[in-house]
Amino acid sequence: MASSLAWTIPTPWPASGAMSPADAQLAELDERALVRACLAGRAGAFDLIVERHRRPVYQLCYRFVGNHEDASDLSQDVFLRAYRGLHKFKGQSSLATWLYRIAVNVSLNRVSSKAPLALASDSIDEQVVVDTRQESASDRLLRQERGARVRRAIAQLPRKQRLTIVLRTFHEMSHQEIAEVLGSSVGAVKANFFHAMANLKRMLEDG
Amino acid sequence: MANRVGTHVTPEQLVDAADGVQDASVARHVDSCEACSHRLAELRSLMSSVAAADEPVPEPSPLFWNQFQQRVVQAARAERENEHFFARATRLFRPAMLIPAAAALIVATAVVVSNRWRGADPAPAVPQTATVAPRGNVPAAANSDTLRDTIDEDPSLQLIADLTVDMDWTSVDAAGLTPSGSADHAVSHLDAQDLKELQRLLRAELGS
Repeated sequence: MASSLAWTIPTPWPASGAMSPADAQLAELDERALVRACLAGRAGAFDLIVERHRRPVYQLCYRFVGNHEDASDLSQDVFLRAYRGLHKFKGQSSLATWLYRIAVNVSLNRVSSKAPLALASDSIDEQVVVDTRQESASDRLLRQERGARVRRAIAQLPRKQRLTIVLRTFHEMSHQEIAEVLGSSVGAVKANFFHAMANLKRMLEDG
Repeated sequence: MANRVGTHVTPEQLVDAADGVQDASVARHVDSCEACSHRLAELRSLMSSVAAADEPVPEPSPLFWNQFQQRVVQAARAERENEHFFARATRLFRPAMLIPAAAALIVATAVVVSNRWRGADPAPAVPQTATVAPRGNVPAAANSDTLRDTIDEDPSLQLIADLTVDMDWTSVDAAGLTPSGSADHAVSHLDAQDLKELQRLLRAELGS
């Protein structure tokens, strides 16, 4: 009897890869309704949450660890923790912000607070190719070296200052969203950002 | 939020000003204060340097996203199934279920103790009318009146007594039903094959 019951419990994922009409209905739900659907056991609801948020979560994790493998593992961990704690999501912040908060916590647990935040590779060869048609080779080299220096300096900042810069500058989050992710006030986020900039200036001047 | 004349703007106000969201009084102060104007220019310059230092995260392949999606959803499914298993197990042990279970356990214990106590009685529960040979601890001279009372009280024993009243010992022994010397033990330790054989013998006896 128990084993037969197990097969009748609704699960929040589709039995097959095909998109059913029910899945199409889910796609039209806003995120709070989607969370409710997931908690109610609607098939495909969690699938949709992962699909909508996997890329920004992965990118944030990547900025912490600086490589694909670890970023992939961390991202998976983020979504599993989110799945376990979905009933705690009250909709006071956006689902994206809530997931970012989990991602920051998971990533900070993985990366020691003393370890520098991997913002990007310092290798000039691996840097992203930008439009250099208007730029000479020496200018490009200078720009890449300057960028690498700034990234190294950011990596030396205190944890909250680093996070504030990463979330604000690289993930284009508002001060309000950063405050929700970091669990602090908007004023504290602005002050952190200001002090991060002051520290960066000092480090860049010191060489 | 209004800035008093002669008081420099706060870091928060400078950040807002750099973002272009300053209020009028802050803007007036920054325009008239060389120090604050310089700080604002410096902040904007640094913000530009940081923005220029960004490197986009390399985009994984579509295959990775498919596999990632599957991994996450499968892991969540496994968690969900485990959760249901433990939830069912927990429900079995909740107080509302423990009370009847405890009551059933008490009754079962009482029955077992009662049966053992009865078994320890000087009169063993071996039907005198049956031709099962007494062995081991079973006294040869059993009290026939006590046995008859025991059989009368227990319908199942009565049925066995009726069915085996005319069976001879050789048949029972040949069926391997008396390994430890008592019909009680033999009957309570039948395996499937023995039970089948007993049924065959009983049918044969009843049919004859």
